[in-house]
Amino acid sequence: MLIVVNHIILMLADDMACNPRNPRPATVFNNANQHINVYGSDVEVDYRGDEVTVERLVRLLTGRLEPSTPPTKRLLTDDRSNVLIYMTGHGGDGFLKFQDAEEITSTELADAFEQMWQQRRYNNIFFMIDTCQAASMYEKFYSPNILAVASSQVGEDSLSHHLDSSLGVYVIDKYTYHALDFMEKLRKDSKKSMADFLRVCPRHQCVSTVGVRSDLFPRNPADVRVTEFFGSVRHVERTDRLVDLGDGDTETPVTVGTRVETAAPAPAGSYRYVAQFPVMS
Amino acid sequence: MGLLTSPTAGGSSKKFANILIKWEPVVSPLLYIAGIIWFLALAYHPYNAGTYFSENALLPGLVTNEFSDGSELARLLKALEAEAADHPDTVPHPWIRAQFRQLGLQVYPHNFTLRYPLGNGSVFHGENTYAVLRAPRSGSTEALVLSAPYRRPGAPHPPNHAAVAMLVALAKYFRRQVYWAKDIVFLVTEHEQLGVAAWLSAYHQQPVGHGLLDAGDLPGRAGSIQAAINLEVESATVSHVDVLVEGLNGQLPNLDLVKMAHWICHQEHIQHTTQGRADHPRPHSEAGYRHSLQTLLHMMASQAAGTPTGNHGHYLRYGIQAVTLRALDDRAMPGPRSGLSHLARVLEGMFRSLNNLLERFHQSFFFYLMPATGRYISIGLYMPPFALVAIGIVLRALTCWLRLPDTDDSERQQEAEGAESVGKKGGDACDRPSEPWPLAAVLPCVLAPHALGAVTLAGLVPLTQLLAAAGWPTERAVFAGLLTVSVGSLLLPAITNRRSPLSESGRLLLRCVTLIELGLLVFTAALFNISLALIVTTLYTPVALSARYYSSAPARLLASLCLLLVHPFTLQLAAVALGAPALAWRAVLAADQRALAVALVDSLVYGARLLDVACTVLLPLWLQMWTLVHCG
Repeated sequence: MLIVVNHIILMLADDMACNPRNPRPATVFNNANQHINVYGSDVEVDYRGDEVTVERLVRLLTGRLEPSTPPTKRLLTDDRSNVLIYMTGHGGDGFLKFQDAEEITSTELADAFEQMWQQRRYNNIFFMIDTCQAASMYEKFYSPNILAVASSQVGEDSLSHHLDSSLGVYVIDKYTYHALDFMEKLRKDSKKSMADFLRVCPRHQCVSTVGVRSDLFPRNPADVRVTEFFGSVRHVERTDRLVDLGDGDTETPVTVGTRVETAAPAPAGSYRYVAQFPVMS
Repeated sequence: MGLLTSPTAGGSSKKFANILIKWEPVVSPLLYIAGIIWFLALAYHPYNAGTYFSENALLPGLVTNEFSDGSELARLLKALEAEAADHPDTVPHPWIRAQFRQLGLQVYPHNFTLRYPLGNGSVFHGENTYAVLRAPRSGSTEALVLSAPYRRPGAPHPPNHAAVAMLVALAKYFRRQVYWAKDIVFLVTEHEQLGVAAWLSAYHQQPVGHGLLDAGDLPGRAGSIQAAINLEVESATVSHVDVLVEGLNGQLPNLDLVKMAHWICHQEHIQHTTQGRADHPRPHSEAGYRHSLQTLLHMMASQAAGTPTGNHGHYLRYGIQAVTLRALDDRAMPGPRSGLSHLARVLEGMFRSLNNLLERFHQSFFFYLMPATGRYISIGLYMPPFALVAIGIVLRALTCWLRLPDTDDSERQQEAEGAESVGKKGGDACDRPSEPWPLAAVLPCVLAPHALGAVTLAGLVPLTQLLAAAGWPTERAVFAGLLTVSVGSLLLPAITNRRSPLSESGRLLLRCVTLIELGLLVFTAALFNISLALIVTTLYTPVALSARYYSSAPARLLASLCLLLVHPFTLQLAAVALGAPALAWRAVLAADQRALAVALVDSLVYGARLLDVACTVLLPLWLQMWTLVHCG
């Protein structure tokens, strides 16, 4: 179960692995057994340190980055992409904290998603957030095709899962731990639905109440496979027969096996991407 | 023109003034008693709060402490004790420096000199040793200090070799770790608090002691010191660890640091105490309350004295939060004994937590009182009862002010003169005297005691030098000087009142000034040393409220006796006697002499303010009250 690395944009403050206080330098573990170093060589941090600001996140989501930004740091999605956004850290009622210096509010995030919708930068968004009072972050969403899950309701704290007493820190949060646990058991051909995923970490495991926002999502989560958002699985069938896709009107049926040579109909109108930095002169 | 300048102008304010004048003599004592009862009640468990960690970055006690090199510790202790036995008259600096150098730390010496101000003025030299463990992966911007005073065999304090051995053993263990984000300074000082004061003065380049203490400069530094722990270990087996908090002039370290010390001792299963007393097992019971109250009073006594209870007191002055951990083996303390390895793990845990900090201690309380190891009384809890105890002073001052004649109201004066000619009543509290303010008579009564106090304080040092030439020991000289001033100043009313005796309004004015001055003293002292303020208030409020001229001789005699009981000299003698109840009278007097000399030296060298305040504020106040009683 994986998403290829060049489809992931990772923003971290990145002050943990090489912090002088880390007894295991250049490693980050999410488990007290310290089996897997999640900060290993296959992890690519795209935005780190001072680059992780609210402005950068909004620019990333809306695509308004400097021309010099390399493609690996851009969100190169189009209207057929399913986007997973996972946020974690310190949060409160209506905000998420960035680096001890600033906060992103739920309104800003909702507006960023609306801009993404207007630019046709996503097909579906799955929004996961694991902070205290996390549900407040998805309350303000108003764009279509967003499914959101949060680790706690407003007024509740999200709690840590367990302590690594050789490091002296709590290494993972309860919701993320159980979500990862669910993910690790999935395979590419798994039939589990998003509704199963949304039921991860019930009250007796998480202490906080997991919140879900599904009213903006057009389909029933029970009908959506988890692999639609995780795993980028496409069912591919190879054929060398020509398929006639017809004239573009719905009455002519699609036939298979006939060689047809017709000019493709001219499109009615065309979409064009807006210039990323409007020229103001 | 408001209430303050013409109290009898408007109708409603006149009514308020009359109500106040009528009821204040009843209200003030009631508030005083209520305040005292409220304060004493704060020691009861349900009326105070439990300590908690405000600084979450500390993550105290989460990491497992892994120090286990007990054999190395024992070997070091044995070697150090042998070294000390070989060189009993000096501090074994070469041995200590060699140990640290072998570990690869940067070792530096520090020499300092004290010119003793009293008596013949001898010069004392001292030497400290400190070793710096540089943080392996960060710049040397911040530092933590682990210090231990070295005590030679034969010194008045118990030996501290085990602490120095622990410093070396911990340095060896810390050196192998990669997780230090701050430099760690291991400091071995000489001459108890003088060595630490000199080292800090040199570290921060802040002269201390007005030129008496020459601390020089340090050959090497380690960054801004964030916190410090002072270690005193009296024996190799430990029954309990006493966490000492009181610093210079009653300054206290951040409550988070104190709580952390108790918490980590608790985690390593070492008995921990405050004021040398463990917690009562049933704090809600009556015996539990008495136990907590006694612990609270112990803390107040040591905070009021203003002398640091350990070397940590001097760090506090620079904003460096510090505590002293004193580990000893008390036969009377029940429970299992711990070894030095346990104690080393406690220190390891404390340093791991301090290492986590990104900011200086700022979250938790700096002003508090502790009735038990896990309970505290914050400034918000102790200020209201204190204010109740002291408000009587202010109310009485206000009443005296309201009773003073109105100098602008000539009509009133003529009226009063008319009333006077008819025949005036004597001794009525509501009578308005008709003379203008007698500043010429009152001013000497105020200025002379203050001048006397200032001269006393300034003259003590020359006096000891003069008498030392005649062969007097300094302690006796200081004692004799203060006693002479105290006794001689009893004649002050006769001198100041001979030319211009005080009229009734003069007495009122003098009372007003005295009460305002006393109120000023106690309310400002309450801000930074609540114990001193509360003790002074408790003793002086009833006396100040009743210090006035009595026409009957027996009442005057009684008032004089009460006043003599709260004379600053008597109070300090009583404090010394209470502190050592088993001693005979001669021993108490000798101890008192020593205490006074030490207080003077502390004031000159470290800046302890108790003696200064007693001489320049409390003594003049007392003399003013004495004048009031004897001004007829």
